[in-house]
Amino acid sequence: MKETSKKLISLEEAAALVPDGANISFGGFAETNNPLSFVRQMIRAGKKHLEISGMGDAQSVELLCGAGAVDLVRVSNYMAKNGRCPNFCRCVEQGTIRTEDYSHFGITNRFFAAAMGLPFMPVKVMIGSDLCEVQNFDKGKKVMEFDDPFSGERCGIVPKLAPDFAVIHVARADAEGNCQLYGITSSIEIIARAAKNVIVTAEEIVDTEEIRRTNHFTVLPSFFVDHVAHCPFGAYPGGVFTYYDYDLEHLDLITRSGKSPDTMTAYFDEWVRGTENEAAFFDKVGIRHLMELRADPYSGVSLRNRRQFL
Amino acid sequence: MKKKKLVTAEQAVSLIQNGSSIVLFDGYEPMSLIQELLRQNKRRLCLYSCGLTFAAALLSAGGAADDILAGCDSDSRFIPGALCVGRDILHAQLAAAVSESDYAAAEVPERLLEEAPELYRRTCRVFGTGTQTAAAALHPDVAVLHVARADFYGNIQLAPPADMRSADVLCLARAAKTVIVSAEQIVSDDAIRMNALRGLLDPEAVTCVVEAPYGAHPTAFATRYRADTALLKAAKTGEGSAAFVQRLLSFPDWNGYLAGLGFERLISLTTNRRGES
Repeated sequence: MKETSKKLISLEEAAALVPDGANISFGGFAETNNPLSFVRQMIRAGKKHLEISGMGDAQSVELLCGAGAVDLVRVSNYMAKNGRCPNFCRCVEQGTIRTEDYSHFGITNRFFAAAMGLPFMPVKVMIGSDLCEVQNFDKGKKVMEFDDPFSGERCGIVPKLAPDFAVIHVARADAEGNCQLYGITSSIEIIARAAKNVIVTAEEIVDTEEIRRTNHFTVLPSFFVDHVAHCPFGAYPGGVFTYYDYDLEHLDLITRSGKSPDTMTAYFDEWVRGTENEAAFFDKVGIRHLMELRADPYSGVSLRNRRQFL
Repeated sequence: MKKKKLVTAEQAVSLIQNGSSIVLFDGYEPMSLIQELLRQNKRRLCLYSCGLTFAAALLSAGGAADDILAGCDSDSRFIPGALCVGRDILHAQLAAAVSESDYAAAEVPERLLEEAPELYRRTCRVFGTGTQTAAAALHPDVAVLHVARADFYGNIQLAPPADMRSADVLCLARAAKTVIVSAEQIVSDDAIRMNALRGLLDPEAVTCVVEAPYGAHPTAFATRYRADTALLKAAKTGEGSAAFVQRLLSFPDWNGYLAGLGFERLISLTTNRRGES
């Protein structure tokens, strides 16, 4: 854990902390709470040879695969709202990345073991299926069937998994690293507790007094967090509950672009490498468009997106 | 069936005729509507400015206003040509209209009795003996104000409770025949019900609503964003105001104006993205 005064850094500084070849895990699930500003900044910085272990972090992995930044993925059901993840699929089909297939709960328990300081966790998932039978680079260290010494029941164990870095996107954080999130949190607390270094990107930076006043929303206390970067709309084109909805149009653009390496490169050249930083990226997206994605305070999603706007 | 009142800024401002009287409120300045008033080249307006509003200064600089009553207790150099009548007096005049009275008894300075005898006079006390000063009720044609939230039906709300202290003043908008509201965000009626205590005006009193994110920029909007002091400071002179009018008019609409400011600048001013506590 870093000193408070050194925790609040820029997005550029945060992304620079992750070296090529790092073992990294991203927060977020499906179209929600993915740290995509961080991912775009990694692509701008030309990160390579990443080893990614995640739970439903498809949006982050899809972009990084498209950028040729990934060597290895411990994957748990990568799907996008608008279909398959074409970049990830192409990398798998062409053998340019290595994969190890987990169930959501299986890989979460690998993180959980590390978070608890335990060597392994017993599970009832994956055993009896190809997720257990087919083992690639984690062979012998993925999941092992064994008999419960107390009841004799057949179950499995998974070893701990402690990523070098966890990158988590939250709603609010203070400069000390106390983090708040509304709605579903998926497994971010577990991933953050498992990782050796935790980088948080936050929609808003607020005073510690505000965190204390609303402490029922705190999902990560400061002692789990090493660095904090302010990243408004940092999960775009995904969404953050009560802040903004996902942008299906832009997600579709990524999916369409991902159909071939050339179109994906063109997407990156225009939207990511072609924008100096995230502020320039969001100027290109358009203030009006971002405002239309703002969430309704009651439903937590955009009225326009859900066709409730006049 | 409830009538939906969401319109565009262009539609809303088209309701305002040349020569109309308009009441404005400091702290709740509908800059997107002011931009549209200037764009539609409205003329001969009479402004009742509750406080020293930037909106009145711009309409004055843009040649849209002929007469301005400023409800301020200090000088009115910020709004050239304004008659400074005092905040409490202007409020009393609007409140008199709301309560359907012809005038309000008020402590009117001697200078106003001389400068605006059509509005301020000495009269016999209704109760007791002797005389008192009275201020004529003001019946604006239009009230324009910027609020935190509105739904499609014209229910409007301020930001979290700390902001409700302004509610009494903003309710003076009921003195106007037409009330045009711009809101930071159009929300569902469920969201309005969720925060029912923040209600401001009865929807029957609201003519139409316009969605305008950052709609008070460059002035501050309570709990959402700070004032853009660099822009405001530069605009607080006659020349500065005129330059700002030209800046507003250089964009086709409010979205264009926001795009011109840029993402980074808007975010740097933002204090609460969701407007929630």
